[in-house]
Amino acid sequence: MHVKIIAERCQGHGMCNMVCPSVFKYDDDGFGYVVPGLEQVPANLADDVRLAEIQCPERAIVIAQ
Amino acid sequence: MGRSRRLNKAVSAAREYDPYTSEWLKHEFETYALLREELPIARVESRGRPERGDTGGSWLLTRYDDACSILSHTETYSSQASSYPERPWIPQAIDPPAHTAYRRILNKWFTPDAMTAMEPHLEQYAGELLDRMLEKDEFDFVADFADPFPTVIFCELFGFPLEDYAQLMDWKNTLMHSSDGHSRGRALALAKAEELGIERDADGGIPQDGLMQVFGSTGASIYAYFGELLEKRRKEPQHDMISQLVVSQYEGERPLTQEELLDTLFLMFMAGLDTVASALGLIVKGFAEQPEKRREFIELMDDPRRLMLAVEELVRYHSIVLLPRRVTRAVEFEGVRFHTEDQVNCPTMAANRDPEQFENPDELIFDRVPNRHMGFGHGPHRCLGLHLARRELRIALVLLHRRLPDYEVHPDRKPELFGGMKGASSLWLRKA
Repeated sequence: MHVKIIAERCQGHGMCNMVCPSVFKYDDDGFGYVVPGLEQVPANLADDVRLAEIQCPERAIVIAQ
Repeated sequence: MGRSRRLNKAVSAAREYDPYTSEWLKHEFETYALLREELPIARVESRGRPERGDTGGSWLLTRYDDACSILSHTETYSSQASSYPERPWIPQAIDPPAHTAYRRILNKWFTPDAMTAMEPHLEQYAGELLDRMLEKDEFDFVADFADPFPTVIFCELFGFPLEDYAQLMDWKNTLMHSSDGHSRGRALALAKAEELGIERDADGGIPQDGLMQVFGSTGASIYAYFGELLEKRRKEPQHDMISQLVVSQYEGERPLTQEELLDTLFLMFMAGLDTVASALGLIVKGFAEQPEKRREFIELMDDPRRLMLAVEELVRYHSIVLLPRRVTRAVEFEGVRFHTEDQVNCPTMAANRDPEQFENPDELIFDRVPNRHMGFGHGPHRCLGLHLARRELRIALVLLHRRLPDYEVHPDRKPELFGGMKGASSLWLRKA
């Protein structure tokens, strides 16, 4: 499972960070990014990453298998 | 009811649309549902509230997807209304790219980390207020907690002197709540009108042009006050946001002008003094009236993940903001022709109850997933203070219910609700 954030869509709601803080962090301006090295999601975090994708109000998170 | 009768009912509901009264709140969700089914993009002629950038009239959108689309396309649907009494508020009434530049200055002060660092203080202050409130067996939750908690925190954060708290609240209530069912706001506006020698209309209210004078005069007092405060912080910087704002750079190129500083403070003031207070009042009123939901909340509140989802659901269910936008060019939207200068209204309370997006939208479902609600707005203008708002709501609700799991609405003192950017201005509760 591979995850990315489409930067142009992210508005910094912070939902992904609340749901899965180990994969999603945010920059100084509060916009989200995927922690480098975790784009390929570890199996134990897959459920949380899926939840973040579902919950993102701007639909900025994209998952590819 | 037959199909055509429902459509006729929807047409007259659109014609009579006026969310700025407490009367409206008695049937708002029913009316939004009717409009969503029959006339999801409805022509309305509401009177509007120019002091808040709502010019009235034009269109009412009740579908979630339509609201998302409008709020994301800022070049066609501008936040800048044409009729603010002063200049447009920064950054709420400014469009990208300038909006992006202003937000860059403000965003870094409102990140989740920055707000998490405030949590011990939030807990301590909320605890103090609650302890004091609960010495009594009956109390006004709004006056004793919902109003002071977020407002004092906001004043501390920005550096508004706490001794000015009452004055700031009066100014805010005059501007925001002169004629929406908020009795204090109405009394303040009437007093101001009298001071300015404005004659009342036949119903004992303030006529529209008189209201604009009241807002103009109040706005001028606020700007003068902010001007003095900026001057003080320039001379003697403190550890507060006003001091940081004074030395901030626009795009790293220049300091903010005096006008930009004033307009930014003005918006922070209007947005920071009302929103969490309103949401808290409505949430706790809901819990007082639905004890089974309150018990469900108390059972889940020690589980951080479930609590986080529950707070989001409460924000969805009790959404308070109307989001007006101005059309900048003739455009066809979902088969409807919008004209330049039309106003498009996207009330979050309508979008957040759209059954196409939220299953059983009129039910509080604490573990609702997905819950892509727009209680904090949508697109580039999403609420700047949402990370603070979430923490304040979570902390307030947990600490309240730990201390007081059982309460009810006072049988002899009815809650006072106001419309528009809605909320409760009085909520008398009684220990059960």
